Amino acid sequence: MSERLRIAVTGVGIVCALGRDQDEFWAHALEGRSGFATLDLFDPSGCKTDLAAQLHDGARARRGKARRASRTDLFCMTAAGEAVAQAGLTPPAGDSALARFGVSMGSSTAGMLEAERWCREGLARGFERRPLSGVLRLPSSVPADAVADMLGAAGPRLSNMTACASSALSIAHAADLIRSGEAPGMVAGGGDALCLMTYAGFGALRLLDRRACRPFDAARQGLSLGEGAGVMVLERWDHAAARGAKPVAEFLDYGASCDAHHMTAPHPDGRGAAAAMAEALARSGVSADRIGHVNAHGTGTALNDVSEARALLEMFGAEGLGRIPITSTKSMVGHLLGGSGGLEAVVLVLSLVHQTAPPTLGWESCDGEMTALDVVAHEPRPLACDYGMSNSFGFGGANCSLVFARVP
Amino acid sequence: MSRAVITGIGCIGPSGVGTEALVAAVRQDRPLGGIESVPTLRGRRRDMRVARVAPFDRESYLPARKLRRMGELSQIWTIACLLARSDAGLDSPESGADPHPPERRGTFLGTGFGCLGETWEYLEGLSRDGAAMANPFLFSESVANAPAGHSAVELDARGHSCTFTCGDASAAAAVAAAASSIRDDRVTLAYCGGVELLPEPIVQVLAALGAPGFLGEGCVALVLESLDCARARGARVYAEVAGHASASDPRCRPTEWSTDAIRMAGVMRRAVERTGDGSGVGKVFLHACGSPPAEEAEGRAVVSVFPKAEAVRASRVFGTLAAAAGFNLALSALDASRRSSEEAVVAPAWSWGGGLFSIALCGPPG
Repeated sequence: MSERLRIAVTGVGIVCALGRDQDEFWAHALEGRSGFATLDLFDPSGCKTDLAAQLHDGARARRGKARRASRTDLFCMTAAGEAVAQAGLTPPAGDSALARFGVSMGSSTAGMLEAERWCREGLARGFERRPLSGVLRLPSSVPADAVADMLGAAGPRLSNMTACASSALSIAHAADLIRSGEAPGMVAGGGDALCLMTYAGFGALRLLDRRACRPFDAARQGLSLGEGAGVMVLERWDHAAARGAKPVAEFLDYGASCDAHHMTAPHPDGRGAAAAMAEALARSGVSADRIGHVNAHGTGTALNDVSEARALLEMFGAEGLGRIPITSTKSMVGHLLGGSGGLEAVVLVLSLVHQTAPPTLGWESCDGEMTALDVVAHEPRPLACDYGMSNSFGFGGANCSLVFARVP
Repeated sequence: MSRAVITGIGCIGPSGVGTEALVAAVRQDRPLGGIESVPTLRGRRRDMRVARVAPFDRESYLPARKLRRMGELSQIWTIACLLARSDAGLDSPESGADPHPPERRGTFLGTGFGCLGETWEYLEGLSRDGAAMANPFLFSESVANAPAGHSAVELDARGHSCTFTCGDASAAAAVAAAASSIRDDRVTLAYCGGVELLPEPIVQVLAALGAPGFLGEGCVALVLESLDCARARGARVYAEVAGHASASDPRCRPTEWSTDAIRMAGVMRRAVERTGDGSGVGKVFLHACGSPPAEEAEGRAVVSVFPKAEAVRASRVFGTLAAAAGFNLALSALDASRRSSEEAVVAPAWSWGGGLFSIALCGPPG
């Protein structure tokens, strides 16, 4: 292993259709429960489907600083609150360690749900009486601002909007800031709320499955959308030790790349995805044969799953790939877009902690190159591994792979 | 650990295309753009000065068939990257092929509002025609990282790609991340900078919110290279990204800028400390966001940390919010190119919502 500064994951938080915290999520994930149901957050008339993994009762409590929050802000704040609580960092920070921590969040829709309503009502009845609060939470910098405000975190603040790789990249950049000495710790991840814009948009691109998505399955028809957030506390290892915090996992490193191929379609050979994985492994100092689990991007679209399978094949080889259990969290909670990388990184950490891979719902059989994949299907699978990888790929060709290690 | 140097600058703004027009506008020190009577969404109108990107022939940089597949922001950013690449001498026949392998070319873009022009048009269509008629082109171009995606295709940049959305400090965040990526040897070349356009809906919302009365738009793309690579190919070096630092003001509201002079001073001081021992600061390109309390705090912060440095307020020429596009960074690089490697030029950037960034550029390494 390199002499790079070690980074502990001292807390994780998750909120999505399958649960409002890590305990509820994990219990439901192991039961193989699906988060998909009929959408009622907005009117999906004219869309290809009315199915989504919507959070029905987790975004209610709107008091104090959460009162003005968008739905996305609220998801990020909820997940961040859980993560810092597990890390033993209680807000408000004041003079505590958290005051020196930074925040790095990724989101692709941010306050779009609220902005859509504002726009729709304004166009129909005029904007004069529409409160401007409907658009103030639209910039994708706002979820990071909301989390930092809630936590009293005065360290570096980053936000990025790099499509479906957003919150994986937010974790990657948070680690960079820790390693460069900018902050002793970072609260990192991201989230996204469902909104008509993305729901109709993916329908227009013919990328939505009418049923719940079936990643890596031969009969897959597209992706299904979901909402929520995944956030983790990354911290310098010695800083965590000094304050008596017990790491739940170790963040090793990341790889990032770009397909440079097409705005909405992945490179057919998985060129960029393979490059991101290779860089992540090389920088982590972990050889491919020591990776014991992959939480795949696994959207369920025809092109993406094949492209990812080809990249995995190039990375691990057919024999190596055959012994790596691969799962797609999106089969349970849908595609959180900008929030998916953060949520799936949290799920990977939980998988390493519990040494169990949750199942990929809807999977029955693979075809083509995907037959090389050992997809965890139907029920959870026990793991016996120290290292895992989480993949996130997005529009614009952006790719990010994260590598975590189990803490014995 | 590699050192990151600026070898190319591409600039598109209200002063026109290229750095000469940028510098000439600063020398003239007169506000660009014109007064627009902006509906405030409250039944009133407000006179605001808006410095928009001056019209130019885009087809002289990209063929029409490519331009048609790009939104406005993507066009401007991609062309700025091409200008920067050309300025860096990476496309000249004499220099041969670009020595940076495609896998080692990264893209680090900053934009505060992203592709809100396309987003608004898409939402109007949804409201008017319903979801069944959603426009797939506008949807994919509404994603804030669409410009980075397009430029990566055009420049075959297959390395790290990220689009930072840190309000009007977005360009600074992107350049800092690009420099880190070069220092960590993740990439050897980075196209980095910012782009900001102000479609009507944004200007109207800003007018209604009582935003500063002089707004600007534009784009700056920088070519950052590892010093070793730049030297190996004999490239002209404008400046070294010698230090950067960031922090935030957690008490700041989403639509306001920090007024915490102590935090601002701390971020600027740390950025300069990272340039190495003994760097003096010759000039500071103020962020000057247009909010009087924030500008007053910035002034106090600069005087407290760099009492002898000359302070330049380029936003009175280009308008506020243009900072997201990175004009101050381009001007800092040009200014640093005439200085020694021991003298720093500082470009602070404060984001609405409380993000604090500072970049310190030094003259070309000896």
